[in-house]
Amino acid sequence: MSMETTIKLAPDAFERVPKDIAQSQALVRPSLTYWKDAWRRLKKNKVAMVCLVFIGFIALIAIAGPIAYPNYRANNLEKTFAEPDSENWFGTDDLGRDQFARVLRGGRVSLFIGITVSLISLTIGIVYGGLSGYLGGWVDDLMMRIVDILITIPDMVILILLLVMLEPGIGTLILAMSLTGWTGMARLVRGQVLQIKESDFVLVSKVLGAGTFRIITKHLIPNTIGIIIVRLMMSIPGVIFSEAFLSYIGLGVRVPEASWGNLAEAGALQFPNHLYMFFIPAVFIMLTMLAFNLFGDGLRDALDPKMRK
Amino acid sequence: MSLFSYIMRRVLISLVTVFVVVSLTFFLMNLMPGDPFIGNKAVPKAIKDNLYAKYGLDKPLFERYLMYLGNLAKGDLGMSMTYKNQKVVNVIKQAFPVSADLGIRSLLFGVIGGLLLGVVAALHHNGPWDTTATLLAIIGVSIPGFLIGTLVQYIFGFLFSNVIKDIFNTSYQLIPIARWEGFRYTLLPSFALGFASLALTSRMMRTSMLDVLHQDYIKTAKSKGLTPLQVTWKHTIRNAILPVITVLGPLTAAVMTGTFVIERIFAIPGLGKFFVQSVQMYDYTMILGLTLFFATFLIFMNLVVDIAYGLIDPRIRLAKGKA
Repeated sequence: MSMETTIKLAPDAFERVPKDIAQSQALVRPSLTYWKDAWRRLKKNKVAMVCLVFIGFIALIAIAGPIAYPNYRANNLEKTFAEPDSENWFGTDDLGRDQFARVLRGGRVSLFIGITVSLISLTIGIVYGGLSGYLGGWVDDLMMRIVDILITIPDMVILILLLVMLEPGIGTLILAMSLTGWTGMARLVRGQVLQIKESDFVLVSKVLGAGTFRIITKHLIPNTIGIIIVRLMMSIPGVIFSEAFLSYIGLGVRVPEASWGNLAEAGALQFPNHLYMFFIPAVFIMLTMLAFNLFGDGLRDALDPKMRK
Repeated sequence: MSLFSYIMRRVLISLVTVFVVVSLTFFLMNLMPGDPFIGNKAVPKAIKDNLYAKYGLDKPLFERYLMYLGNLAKGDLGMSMTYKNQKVVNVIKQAFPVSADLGIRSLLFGVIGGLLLGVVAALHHNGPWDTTATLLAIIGVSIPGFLIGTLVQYIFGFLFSNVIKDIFNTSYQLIPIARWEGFRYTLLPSFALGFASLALTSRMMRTSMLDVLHQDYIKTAKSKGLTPLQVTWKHTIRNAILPVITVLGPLTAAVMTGTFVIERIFAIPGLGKFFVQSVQMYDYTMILGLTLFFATFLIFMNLVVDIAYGLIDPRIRLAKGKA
């Protein structure tokens, strides 16, 4: 099947557009940096913004709360298991400690552990994964085989052993969880480094005479930072979860210190009496984890538009 | 050939890992302050020496390590140091079936439920089912299993069962909240433990289904005139289910660890209780035996899942062969 063009084009039907370099170069919209663009996308995501506000609120009460209500350890044996009232907003526990102060303190401890462990794992992961990917060759092979083996060992086994071996406490908990948490990050960073190392723009940069330092600061970091931040955000609720889990089976934070995990455990021990002791910390754990997860999702969409579904 | 070498490599890594776990656990455990015979009571030195001799604690560390490895090769995990005359192997034999029962029930519930929900959600993309699945997925990730456990205890075992008791005027507990004595007893713990798996599986299945639905071969299948059921069953689900298989390894691990708390909450006589207790009582042989068992089991499950995936999906094999 063939089609013949029968339209006749008359030259005078066209008008020559004058070259206007100034106009073609003019910027119609303001240029956006990567961060401005990401922020713009994030702002559109209502769920993520609500979660961000909630995380800010939780952070605020974790910082300021224990300063305003410092008596989380004070016993009051004349007023045990008091239901929430105007004096003790969240009631009191088996030793008459004020649950409101304990929940605030617990929030500080849980968030502190979550953020610290995530940051430490992140740092170890970046150094290890970055070195492995950057050095390449047999060093990379060896380092990654070690990670392969470490990843296969169940986290809980290492956690439990370390927690039993060392003095129980927040420091030990942070150490143990950091030791098991970095492997995933190391793999992620290594993958990114390898991918960028092989990319054309790095080759061009090298050909133009850029040194290692320039390549790392100008190409490697800007191209991986988004993924790393998202990973960091997503790992915080995971750590809060693990802390709560360990405290729940009695291996984590111990009384009189408070964390959301051991508050929920103390509440579960009184079950089904004194339900407020269980439900209040439980709700705090759930909402905080929900907020971090949803915000992490939103952040991922904002920082990496390709991931968008 | 490539598949064979792939399997061999995975088996090798797994064996090395098991060895590392045994050695690590052995030496870490012996660094622990305290020992199983200190307790609160003051034990005369002679008795202590005898106890040490009986359990071989008087020998140098490295010799004990070699001895342990030797016994291990014979399948002997030693005697418990706190339970009298209990072999560690026997404790595992007795308690593991209960844990495994609970684990399998919750996995079945989670995986089958998750697959169904994921399929329905993807087929009604952006519809109410889809919203439900997405919501469930995010809730499942955000609410720890032990909180769900206590919550369902309260809602079903307490509120709901009390309503039943009131209506029929009996003391019959319809849905029990503790122990492990029959089907009714398994409902709540399996749900609490399986909920996270359900959330994760449905999320994976939904994403995978949506991915497959956009492929050209689905268009081809439709244009060939296949019925919607045939397209969904033979072409979409079959292809979409493959990546979901990989999640089975991590899921098994999560369920295994989850049993620790769920067993505690529901007073189920499984392995979790022994694990936590042995750690608190410095029962060296028990910790070592249980850790080893636990780690080996998980490593083995991961291996099985990986190999199964390699066998099922020819694309994986091809990619590995090229690399």
